[in-house]
Amino acid sequence: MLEIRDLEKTFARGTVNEHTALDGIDLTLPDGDFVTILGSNGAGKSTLFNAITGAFWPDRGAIRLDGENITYQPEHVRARKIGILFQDPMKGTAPDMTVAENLALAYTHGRRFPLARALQKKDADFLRDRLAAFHMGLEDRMKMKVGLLSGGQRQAMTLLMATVAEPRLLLLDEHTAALDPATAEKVLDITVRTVRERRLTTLMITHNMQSALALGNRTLMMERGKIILDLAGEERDRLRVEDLLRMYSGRQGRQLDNDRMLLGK
Amino acid sequence: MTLLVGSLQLGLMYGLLAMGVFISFRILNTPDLTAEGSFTLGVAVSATVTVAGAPYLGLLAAFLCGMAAGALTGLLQTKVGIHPILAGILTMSGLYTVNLAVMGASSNVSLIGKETLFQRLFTQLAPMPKDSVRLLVGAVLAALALLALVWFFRTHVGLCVRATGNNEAMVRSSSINASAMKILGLAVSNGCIALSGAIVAQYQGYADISSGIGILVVGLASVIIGEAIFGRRSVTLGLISAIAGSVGYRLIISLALSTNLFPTYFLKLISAVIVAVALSLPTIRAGLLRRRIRREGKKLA
Ligand SMILES: Nc1ncnc2c1ncn2[C@@H]1O[C@H](COP(=O)(O)OP(=O)(O)OP(=O)(O)O)[C@@H](O)[C@H]1O
Ligand SMILES: [Mg+2]
Repeated sequence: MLEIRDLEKTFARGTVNEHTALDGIDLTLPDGDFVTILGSNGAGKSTLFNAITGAFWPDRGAIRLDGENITYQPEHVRARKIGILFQDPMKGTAPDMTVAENLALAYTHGRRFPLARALQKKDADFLRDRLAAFHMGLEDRMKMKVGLLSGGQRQAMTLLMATVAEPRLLLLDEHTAALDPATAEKVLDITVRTVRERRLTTLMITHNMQSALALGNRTLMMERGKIILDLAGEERDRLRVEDLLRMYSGRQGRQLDNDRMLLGK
Repeated sequence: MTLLVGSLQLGLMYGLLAMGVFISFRILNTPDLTAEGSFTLGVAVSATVTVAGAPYLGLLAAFLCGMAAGALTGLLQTKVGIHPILAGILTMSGLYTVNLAVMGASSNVSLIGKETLFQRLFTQLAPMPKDSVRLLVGAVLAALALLALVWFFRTHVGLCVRATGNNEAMVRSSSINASAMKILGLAVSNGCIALSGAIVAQYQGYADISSGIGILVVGLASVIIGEAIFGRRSVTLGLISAIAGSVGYRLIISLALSTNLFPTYFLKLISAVIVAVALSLPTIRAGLLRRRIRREGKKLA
């Protein structure tokens, strides 16, 4: 369970560039929730993720994961419980290391003696099976350097690396936005399957309203550092993209100016 | 023949240096100038401990001191946030004083008449020619270090060090402590470099405060020559080719010196030129390729 209380973050405080990126965020995520997050550019979505992963400390407020206050915990400590995928497929894997080495890095960290051999047969078999379930042919390329893989294949690997250690929370920051439509669909598909099978508590940022409503069980909309819409259950089921647009412009008192949001991808 | 044997002896001993430089330059992807100081630190510690009568302990002590020096640079880089190059320069400068202190405030220490590990082995392996003993020591030391490093980079923590050098952003967002891995990597690298200095000091029979000057370039040249022979593939092959490159470097130098192409004091310039030319090769090659494509493109048009 993720609990966020009154989270605030202002960048460049006291300068002309002062910008409140998170403005009193309150959010409770019960275990197993799959939440999609919408919001125009600069709304503060990625900043919210960065606060959760510990890239910076918020000015105010608290973040709790399974009851533990992680607000000021070092990044690598809380990373044991949090998996994250970024838009850039290059960010999540080490290009000069092999597929097997990358996966072993994520899988065995923290569960084995540091001086134990990194690549062990039984791990390799387990990881190969998990890769095979993606149907991307990656299981035959365990010895290949990751830098030679396509963006979609790298993102699929990153997904496996982020989820293989059974995190308590999965964060997806537009993780299919840099992929071509067919690959994006494929990666999204394995994402949904993984989240469902592992019953992962998930937050997914997307600019695609269609998938924001179709995937998961709850949808948030952010604007100027605030959560302005929080939809779940029947209300969400009945909603169509057009309704979402109307609600959005109604609350904001202005028209959407973001084509990417209107049309999705 | 003596030329070949001499190059092989020196090449193997400086092979430890080359492996250390390979670790910082290729695996950690960071320019580490600590090398100049940690090599001399190895020289100084080894000589002083040998004078005190414990040549083998001298090697171990030098290795540990080198690790400490590398860890210090790592701390400056990560915990204090000093630019990697400056962090190395700071440690290197500070080490100059430390090295003088280790050598009893004198700029050189002679091991003539002292029992170095070579002197001991000469008597222990009595009928064996001295040159073979020197070669054996170099080969055994290089092989042991190579095996230890190959093993290390296959362990889980070794993999974490490699990942940190390869994609730091990824490691930062994972549960691996990137700072700790950098510190560890630099410690291992400088431990090897100091060990190289330690054995070279006993081989030459003296320690000099200026032994480390230009040593980073020597290490880089070895790494690059090795890569020219073996290419860049795996870490294991990289470590092996660093040693091979070190031997190659010594051969080139001694050949050039023996033909009186240039006087000894030209060495540092030659080494720098080798490294500069080798590092610019990829750019030159890409330029030539572009020219060829343009020429053939025009022909077809
Ligand atoms: N480290 C930082 N320093 C200063 N300003 C920042 C920093 N990080 C984010 N911001 C600002 O905070 C605001 C929110 O950025 P954020 O990246 O969270 O937007 P987003 O909702 O993810 O948008 P997008 O859809 O474009 O990814 C932006 O105005 C951005 O310029
Ligand atoms: Mg963003």
